[in-house]
Amino acid sequence: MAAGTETVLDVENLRVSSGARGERRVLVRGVSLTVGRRRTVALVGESGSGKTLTGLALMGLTPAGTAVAAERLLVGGVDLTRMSEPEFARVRGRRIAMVFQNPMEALNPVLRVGHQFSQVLTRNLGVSRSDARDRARELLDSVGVSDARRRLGQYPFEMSGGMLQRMMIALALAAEPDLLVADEPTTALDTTLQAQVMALLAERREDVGMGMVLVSHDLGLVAEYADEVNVMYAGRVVERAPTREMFASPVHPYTLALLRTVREIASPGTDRLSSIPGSPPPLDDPGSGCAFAPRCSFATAECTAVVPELKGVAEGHDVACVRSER
Amino acid sequence: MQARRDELPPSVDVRDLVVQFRVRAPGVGPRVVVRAVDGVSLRVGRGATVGLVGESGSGKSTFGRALLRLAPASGGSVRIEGEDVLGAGHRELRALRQRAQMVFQNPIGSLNTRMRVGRIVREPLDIQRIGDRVSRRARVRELLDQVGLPRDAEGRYPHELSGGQQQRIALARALASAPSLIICDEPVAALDVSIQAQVLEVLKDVQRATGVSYLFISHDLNVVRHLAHETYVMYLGGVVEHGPSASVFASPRHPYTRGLVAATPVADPERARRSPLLRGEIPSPMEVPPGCRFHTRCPFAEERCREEAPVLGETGDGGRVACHFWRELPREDPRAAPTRGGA
Repeated sequence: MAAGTETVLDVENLRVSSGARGERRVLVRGVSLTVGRRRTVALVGESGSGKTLTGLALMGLTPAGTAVAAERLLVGGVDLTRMSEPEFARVRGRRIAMVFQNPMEALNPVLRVGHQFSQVLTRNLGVSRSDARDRARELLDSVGVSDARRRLGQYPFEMSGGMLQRMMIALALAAEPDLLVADEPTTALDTTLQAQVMALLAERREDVGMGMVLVSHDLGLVAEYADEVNVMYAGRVVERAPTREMFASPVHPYTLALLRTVREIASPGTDRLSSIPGSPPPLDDPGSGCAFAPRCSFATAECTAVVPELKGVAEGHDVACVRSER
Repeated sequence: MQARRDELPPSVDVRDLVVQFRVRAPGVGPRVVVRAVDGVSLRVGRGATVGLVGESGSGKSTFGRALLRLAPASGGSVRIEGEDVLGAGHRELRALRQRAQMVFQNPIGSLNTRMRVGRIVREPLDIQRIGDRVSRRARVRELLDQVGLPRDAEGRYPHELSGGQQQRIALARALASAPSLIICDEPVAALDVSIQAQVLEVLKDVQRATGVSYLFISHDLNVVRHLAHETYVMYLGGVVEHGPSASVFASPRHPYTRGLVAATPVADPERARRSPLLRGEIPSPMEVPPGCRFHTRCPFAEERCREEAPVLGETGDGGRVACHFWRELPREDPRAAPTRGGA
């Protein structure tokens, strides 16, 4: 990270597990992240890589029956691991906020949007209901919703997905949090709206001065909007690098294969796509050694024996692969 | 062989298809007629792959469904291998559905989860009474091979298999009656990119082996450009551009196509970040704007666009575009196109 950038998220060795004691299944196996103010750090990976669970763990919102542990989980300098749930609840929505993939599911379908705005604003900002109404209009203005008064009187089903996602972004940023976790924020939207919403997030990030964790499966999106990329596979970060470096010189065989496929699909001349054989392992059962080994064209006996650790190959560039250790 | 193919009627030939629904506006409003598909003509030649792209609400899925009368057509004509679909009686329709099949986005939603894979794939043969027991069994094995599923998949249930494998089952089932056309509606949209590539390769292999043609409906420009020989671009129920995929995506003419291309992310951080060319959202199909249906979002719209609907006209190089001003628009890379104030 650039010198002088204030750190808003510092998480060390984050683990998420589920199940009762004795038969605990580990799902996220030690993720460490640092996000600076006005920086966007991406978590990319395919379904079942643990990227969404990692995002939820930062928010203290993992599903019932799961447990989260970390050496350190500092948001804006405050250690969330030492907090009780009521304390965490006061931080959530204020210092750390989240935008989800499907705004329709994030809103109550039977309440007018304005009502839901004022619930959240009175709670998170401690303002009166009438102040909340004024604030709601300002917030909608800030995300490019022009007819705020009418919109606030509507129910979620009366609006398009793009409009709702703008509203969710406005709501998430109401308290000007230190950190925003955006989990596939544009995946449910059409391409032309995706560009609009990502531009909006980038703009609001600057204005609010927050850091952002962008959870996405889309390498194209990440290339355009993230400063740093973390590639996840089977509950671990397998490669981390500044975005330009990651796309210019990826090292991990999984990153290499993913990028090659994405680029081949995007270039019209490709005759045969080089797909990765097989499919990812279940999150709770990554096998022994490197979880990618069964699909890796470079795998040797060594790969199934030891779990490779993230090690630096260049400034800010870490890779978890035995090949890069030589 | 090639000459023979050209003499045969195309896999599907659609002329001026109209699909409309009577719906009530949100809240309590009067019933209104929505034209989800408003006079679309499209042709898929034998053994060809034709892409149909557009955003949600463009009518592309409704169009695909109407070809098999899964959505009600109220005008125009559909011919599958030369035979009339819209006027077909019950028996003829059943026979026509052997020749044109459909594969959907969510394979698990379109497969009977209580059946084993072998039976799922065999069922169309049973229903259509194709072959006897022994030949059906052999055919199932052949189909599983063709889509790259392991032999032991036959005895398993769909939920035991991955999303990519489930989509292969759906494809094997669609292929069972040896159709001339498969309508693929977002077949890889729900799959991860590494699995997408596998399924796309299977689609190509199957086409090489059987000569089946595809109508490939998708919002994903990269996938369509990769797979489709020609592409139609739909917006609010109408086709705004059509041509060979290479030229539609490399030098799009219609401002909407240009906006779509510009908005598609590229996995290359060295490229300048795109500024969104298109503002706003696709209007509700209940409120299709007068004149050019795209004028409310077009950065280049002028007075004429608000009054007169453009027709799909030849561009002179194999493409067609429905825009009054396509010749006069700035020709630079749409990615670099500035955001301009419009209507």
